[in-house]
Amino acid sequence: MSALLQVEDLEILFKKKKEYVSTVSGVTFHVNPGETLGIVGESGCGKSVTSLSIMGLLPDNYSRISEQSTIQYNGRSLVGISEREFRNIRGKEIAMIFQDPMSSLNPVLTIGYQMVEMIRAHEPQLSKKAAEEIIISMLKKVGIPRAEKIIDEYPHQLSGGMRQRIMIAMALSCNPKLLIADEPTTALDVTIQAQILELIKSLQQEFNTAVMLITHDLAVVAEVCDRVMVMYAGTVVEEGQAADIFNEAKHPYTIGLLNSIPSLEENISRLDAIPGSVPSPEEFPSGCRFAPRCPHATEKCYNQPPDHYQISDHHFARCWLYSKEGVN
Amino acid sequence: MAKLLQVTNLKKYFPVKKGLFRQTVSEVKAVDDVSFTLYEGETLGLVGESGCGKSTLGRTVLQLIKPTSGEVVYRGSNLTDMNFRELRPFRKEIQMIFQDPYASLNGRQTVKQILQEPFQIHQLYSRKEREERVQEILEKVGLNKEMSNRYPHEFSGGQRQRVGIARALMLEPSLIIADEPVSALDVSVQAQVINLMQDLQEQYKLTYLFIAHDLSVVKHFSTRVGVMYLGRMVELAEKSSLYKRPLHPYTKALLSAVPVPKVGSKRERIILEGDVPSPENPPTGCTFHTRCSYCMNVCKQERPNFKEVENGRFVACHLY
Repeated sequence: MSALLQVEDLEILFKKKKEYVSTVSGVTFHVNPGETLGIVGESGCGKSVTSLSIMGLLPDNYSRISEQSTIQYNGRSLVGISEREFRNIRGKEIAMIFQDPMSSLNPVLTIGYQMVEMIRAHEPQLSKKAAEEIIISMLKKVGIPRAEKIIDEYPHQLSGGMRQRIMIAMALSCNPKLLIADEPTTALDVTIQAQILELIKSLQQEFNTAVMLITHDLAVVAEVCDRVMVMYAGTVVEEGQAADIFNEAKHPYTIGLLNSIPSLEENISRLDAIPGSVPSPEEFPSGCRFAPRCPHATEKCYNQPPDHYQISDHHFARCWLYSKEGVN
Repeated sequence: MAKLLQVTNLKKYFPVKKGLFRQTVSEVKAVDDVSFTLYEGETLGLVGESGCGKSTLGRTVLQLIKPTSGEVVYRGSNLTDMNFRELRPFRKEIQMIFQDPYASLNGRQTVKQILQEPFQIHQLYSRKEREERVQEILEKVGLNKEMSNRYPHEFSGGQRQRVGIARALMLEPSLIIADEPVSALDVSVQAQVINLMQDLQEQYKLTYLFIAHDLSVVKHFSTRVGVMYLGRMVELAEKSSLYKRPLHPYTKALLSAVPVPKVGSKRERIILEGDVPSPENPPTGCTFHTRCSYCMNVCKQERPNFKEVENGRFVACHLY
């Protein structure tokens, strides 16, 4: 099976005081058709920037993707293509939903207008009427009652969960092959989050869309993802099947992250917190970026960045502990 | 255990004004008839979805917002009838930790100034003693003494929340109302702050009213847990019994909706239909009846009482 999206050695630089600072580097991953890949990490780990770079949405006046990076979608490169070419891909081939549905919808246009606009941009031969029919059936699929009425309403008239449903309907209305969901449930309450996650799962099966789910919430990832990628300070530290990550986490950061979540099922008197906090891009350590907070760090970890080491078939960790030569 | 705080039939209605003369057209019942007791040394967790009134309840207890009616009795004195000056000594006893450490610290003051301000207001200690107290507290919350001359923007989110906690501790209160103290923080930092708050509770014999929306954090942190829905308390019980055997249908749904960081955990999930109704126009009878799968006729008409169904276990539901 060839991958739908193949990202290799991605490096993203941001301008800071006239100099470009590398934020995300050495990120390699792929998304297969129809699967769900979860990308988890804390704020500032580069998960959102990675997804924006795939969509070609990075601000070009102060950020750039370095030359050696490749992003291949269905066999064609997405690095350095023109804005016009990107327009044919965005929405139609790769769609995205964002964290805050209020700020991603236009407040002065009706829901129907925004959705019709988007469909007709990609399929200009469709009449308004036909496009409207498509969106009404789409809205019904995402579980919006009285869809015929909703299309004449404005975003502020709807609740957060409803707005997120609209965003999902909009993203899926052109039948994209890849859906990038950036923190789709973070702004929502748990009961609504459960509804939206169920919805994403069922729609994915129906349309056979591949989903890249970006979130800081490990529990959400465990719930919906086939494969998981853990990011820390701009690098991928561990990647594997969801079962590998949650049952047999190898990287000290993943282990630390899993241990610092209070459990709903067991009683523990004290949480194992990871000491310190995430460094900012200018002060990324030259060796392993997790070394200053790692309980197993040795001198080697501070000096040399580790590579990806294979643990099992699909399970990789970027940590000297799992290299042949070991930590010393 | 000794009673520290007694809240009886507390109500807070916010008027909704409309038109040229700002006439009150309706009311938002943010907190509607809530009663509970807080015992010394315990942590009472308050959970509920956004808009359920948990934050308003916390602020009304502290008298930051004056309640519409009802009583808040702290160690035998009724806080609700007091004016600003009479309340001042009690402000020393009850302190608050806010959610957003970015917004709750004054960006133009150094950490030292922020931490000394409570002493100036209450006219405590000499200048030298104040300095010493600041250093001492900073160390307690895991910050460096040298950091006292820095400004809030120089700290990370977790450190800033530590400053917020230090500020709440300056006057050695007995009760701390913590309104979503860890929800703005990353998971790894969140665990650090939770551990810190637990350590401080032991050291200073603190009582917490812990307001949060994250059910697993509340479970980890609290002794008892109260669940709120649309301004009302629907269930209040010991942590272990509430999480093991929730009684109220809303609590059941809420608990089942929480995702667990485990692969293939087969839990039965109750997915609630629809959204939380607007508190401006709540449903009649039991406010949860529109989304409840056990809804009976009586639920639509009569409001269930918040009553003790088992020892120390309160539920507001017609099923019990």
